[in-house]
Amino acid sequence: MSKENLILEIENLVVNYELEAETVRAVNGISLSLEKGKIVGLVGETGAGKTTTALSILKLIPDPPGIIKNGNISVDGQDIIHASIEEMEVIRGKDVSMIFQDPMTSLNPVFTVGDQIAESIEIHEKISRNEAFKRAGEMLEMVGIPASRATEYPHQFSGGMKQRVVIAIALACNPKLIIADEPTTALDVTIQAQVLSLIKDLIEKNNASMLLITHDLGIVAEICDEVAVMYAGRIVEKGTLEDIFNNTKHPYTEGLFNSLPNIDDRNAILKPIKGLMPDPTNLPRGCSFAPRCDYCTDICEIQPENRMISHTHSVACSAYENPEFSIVRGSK
Amino acid sequence: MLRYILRRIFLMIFVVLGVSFVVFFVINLAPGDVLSKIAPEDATLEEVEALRVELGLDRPIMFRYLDYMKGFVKGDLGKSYITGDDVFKTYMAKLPATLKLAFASIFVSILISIPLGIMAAKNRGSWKDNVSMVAALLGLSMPNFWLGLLLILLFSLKLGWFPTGGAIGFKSLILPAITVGTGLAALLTRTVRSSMLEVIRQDYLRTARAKGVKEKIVINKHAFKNALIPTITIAGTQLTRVLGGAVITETIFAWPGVGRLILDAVYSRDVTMITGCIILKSITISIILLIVDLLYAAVDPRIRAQFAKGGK
Amino acid sequence: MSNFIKRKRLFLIICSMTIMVLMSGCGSKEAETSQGDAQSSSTGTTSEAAAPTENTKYKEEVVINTGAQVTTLDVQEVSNVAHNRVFKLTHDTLVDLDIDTGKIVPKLAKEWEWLSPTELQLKLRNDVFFHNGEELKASDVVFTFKRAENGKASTGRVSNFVDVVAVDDFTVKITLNKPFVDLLDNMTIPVYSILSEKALIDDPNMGYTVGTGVWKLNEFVSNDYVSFDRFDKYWGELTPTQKLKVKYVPESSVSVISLENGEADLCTDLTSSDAVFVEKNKDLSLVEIDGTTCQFFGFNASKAPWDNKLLRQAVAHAIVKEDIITATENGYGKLATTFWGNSQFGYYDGFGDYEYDLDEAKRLLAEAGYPNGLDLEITVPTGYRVTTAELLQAQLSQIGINVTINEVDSAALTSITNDGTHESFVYGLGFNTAGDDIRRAYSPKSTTNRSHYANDRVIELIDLAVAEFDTDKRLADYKEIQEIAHDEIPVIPLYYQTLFFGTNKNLGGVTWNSTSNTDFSGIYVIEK
Repeated sequence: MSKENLILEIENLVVNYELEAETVRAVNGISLSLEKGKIVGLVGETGAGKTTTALSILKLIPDPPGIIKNGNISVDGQDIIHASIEEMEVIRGKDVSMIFQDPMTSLNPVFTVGDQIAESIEIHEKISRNEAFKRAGEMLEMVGIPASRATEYPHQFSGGMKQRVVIAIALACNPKLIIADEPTTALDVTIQAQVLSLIKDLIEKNNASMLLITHDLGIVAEICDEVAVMYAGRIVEKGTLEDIFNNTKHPYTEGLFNSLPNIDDRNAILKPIKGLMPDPTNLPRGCSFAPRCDYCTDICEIQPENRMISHTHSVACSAYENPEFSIVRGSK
Repeated sequence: MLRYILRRIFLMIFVVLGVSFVVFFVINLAPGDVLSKIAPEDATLEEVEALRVELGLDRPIMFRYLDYMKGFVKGDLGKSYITGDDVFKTYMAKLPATLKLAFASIFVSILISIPLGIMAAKNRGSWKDNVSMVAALLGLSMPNFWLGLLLILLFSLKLGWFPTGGAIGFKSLILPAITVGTGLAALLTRTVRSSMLEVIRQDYLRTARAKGVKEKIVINKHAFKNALIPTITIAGTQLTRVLGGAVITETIFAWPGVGRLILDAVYSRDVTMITGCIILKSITISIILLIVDLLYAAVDPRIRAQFAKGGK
Repeated sequence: MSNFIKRKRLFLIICSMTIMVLMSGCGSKEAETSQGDAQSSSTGTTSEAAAPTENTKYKEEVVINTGAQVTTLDVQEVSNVAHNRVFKLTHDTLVDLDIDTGKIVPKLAKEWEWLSPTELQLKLRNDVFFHNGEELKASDVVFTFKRAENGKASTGRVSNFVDVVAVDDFTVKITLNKPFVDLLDNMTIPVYSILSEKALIDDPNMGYTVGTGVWKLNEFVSNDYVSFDRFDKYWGELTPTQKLKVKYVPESSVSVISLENGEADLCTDLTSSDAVFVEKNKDLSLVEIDGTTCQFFGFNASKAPWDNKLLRQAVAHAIVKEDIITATENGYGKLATTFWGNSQFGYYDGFGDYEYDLDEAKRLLAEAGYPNGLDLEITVPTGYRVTTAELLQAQLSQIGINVTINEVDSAALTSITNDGTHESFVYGLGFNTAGDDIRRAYSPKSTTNRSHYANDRVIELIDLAVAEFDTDKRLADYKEIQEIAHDEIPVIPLYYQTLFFGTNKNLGGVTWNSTSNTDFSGIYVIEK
């Protein structure tokens, strides 16, 4: 992948939350890149460090107690780690914008939705307040809400419509990169589908890229081009949609697929992954997944290296030192 | 919204009835009566008694109360036993001075407490936070008469910038307003601080930052407007306290307000003046509280919607 | 450093700062105690700050701070020192009192004579104008005294007037129902001021503000201030000042500050602590007057067991008045030995005072049947008199009297003493100059006789003296009253309160007198 083609590049990102009594190791050295025009899904359970990663890109980690300990992030070639606050304020909302998880709390209750959308436009583009408000109306139309409702307040909208407003805010200035943090998790299943397809349309129309954070493999299958699987602050497997779904390599990823109920076989027993995610303040020295892994051996006591399976597919599992090794899923 | 306002005005009537009843009876329970102040020094006991009968003060309380209410319903609050002036006119003559002092004091306290409270919340736990809280505590602990005298000594005597008292001109308002305002600021600062702390954790601030809004605006516009609600409540109650008259400050600065009027009336057992003034005071306070509630609605659209539905 | 210790440290710092602030707050409000013993003070004289000459420049407006409120400008509604000061500015009485000689002198009336023991005829000046331009005539006097029948303060004053008649335009005859020697003395009090008939016909509501005085009312803002303009057609000597303002400043320390500041030229009703402060300032003058308000400790002489004079005499032997003066008034005040006005006709202090003798006190207690002492309740109004009560408590414990102090506000005290439910009380009584004023202290019908003292001989003497035109006989009557009162001691007089005024150094033209005769109307301040 050539550098000019990358909209986002993360190298060895380490993020900690340093509290008074202990340190939470939220992100432990992840590397990720995203090509222009592509949608990458960042998958993992709650607590894997996905949101922290997303917030780091916009430097929205609450500081204190969060600290970016190490690593490089660049957005369209621009260095984020060493950018000043003023520079970040220009980037946020214009080059990169974010769609948050919970629409009920993401909107300011005392301002109209029109104002909240227009504010983004006013900050980044030199147009008048009235112009911006008109544009805000257009954005609302784009997400399927009548422009006349721009003068209404968040409490007058349902959850699904609130999320659309959030999307309208995120897209108002035509950002190149959109980070969507579980955008449909808080919505009804029927609305989920609507919102998802809306997001997909808008991305295509604007020729933008998206980093989609989710724990729902179904959504990943629907719209992502590439997938990265995160566990305990590390990326354990990365690849194209095809790679991950049909050529699963990492035991954790396998566990995720196995946890899905099988609609065809209603009598089958659910196979959850045994055990719990490790305590982020007290991570094991070796592979973080080892305690829960069916394939765990002595090798797992050292930190696994990232191993390229193909030029698109990589996995971090020491079991593949053994060329004969394979997991159950996908093996014939 | 109109229905809501009308309902509130209707409720005021009950407040007034209750207040008038309680005040009238309580005053009459205190030993002594107004004759000790209006009967001339050389009057004989018989003459004093005759005066008491003439003023109708020998009749049982219940009858006197009913007579009073009969007049009240017609809009007549009676006359002062001491000066003979109409109670309503006297109160209304003093009210502007009290209103001026009340609003100026709240203004001073807001001027102090909002920046201080926001700064304390933003830098929670740091020395800035602690200093603000101590400053607020200082304002609360300083006795009014001490601060008032100190301000007079410094600004009137030494520097000659402001007059020592009276109510003539804008300059004479400043020292009394500062005296009362610093005392009010303490509670208001803590309120601003704690409601800001709550708001600061809210997700919508993160959304604002993600849009690229400058941090200063995030705090002062996005966060603060939400922190206003509890602030308005507290500022409103503070205002009602001062509307009753800041007696000590009025005495120190010879400020001709309602507080001293009521106090003097109590000392002279001037029943009509006391009852009338306290009723008027409770009406004034009810009106101010209504305005405060309407202010909430102006700030918070969710409350506006509730009021529009016709009631709280 | 762990956060717990950090927080504890902070807590201690905050606590100590708070305590320091609170203590400093208390500190600066404490009154300075002075080293004074009872100081001698000037009697009423005209103040001569600086004798005015031809070329002296005078301040156009003079400001007086008063510590007592003015509630009305109707001379017939209220009669007390605070109001009379203001009334004297705008109104005149028929006659005046020369403080130095004690004699009645002409004012609106230029001469008078008693036609009979019950008829007084007065001739008025013919060059007097009211503020509304009308000439003063006898008809105004007739009108005034008729109106006086309805005024709260004046009705008692004219209750012995049978008739007031205008003999001609400038001659008035007053007929009384029985002889009353003190009529002229009483008529110097502002409640007898002459009002304009025309002004009151034109404006029944406010016409009473029109008088014949050198000052004309400009503005009256109740509870705030009264302001005046000079009346250039005044019949007497004009003051060089053109405007006058009397401001109500309730807090005396602030009043003194405004004096220092130049905002005010004269402060009345200062406390003894403020007096010390004024004295120390070389730009200000302190005026001290022997007050005529007698502070006293009285018994309810109509209620057992204190209706027994032996018990009262015992108490008199156990009191140290000097200590009370020192504690309550910082040493200022004149010792009182008789319950009479110290500038009042008939004053006699030749009977001496009860000696401090604890043995004699105990002996008297035993003779009365209380060898082991007894209980006593002292009712006292809130304020400086509480200190007096506390001292009495300490002093009387020496002879086995167990005192409880009942502190109330002044309206309650009036009610309690009127009902006669009290045992003893600490209070004050202001005396005028007329001899018959003593009725207020000793007549059982008077509301100010809070001791409910009723001695038949005393009552008889009072009525004899008021009709007695022979001065010597009168004096003898009053002397006998004081002899009886000294023996029966229903009231133990303690001291006459000193009055303090703070003034601008260049102030003059004031006639100082602590009774209602203090006259500010000639006031001026020389501009330096």
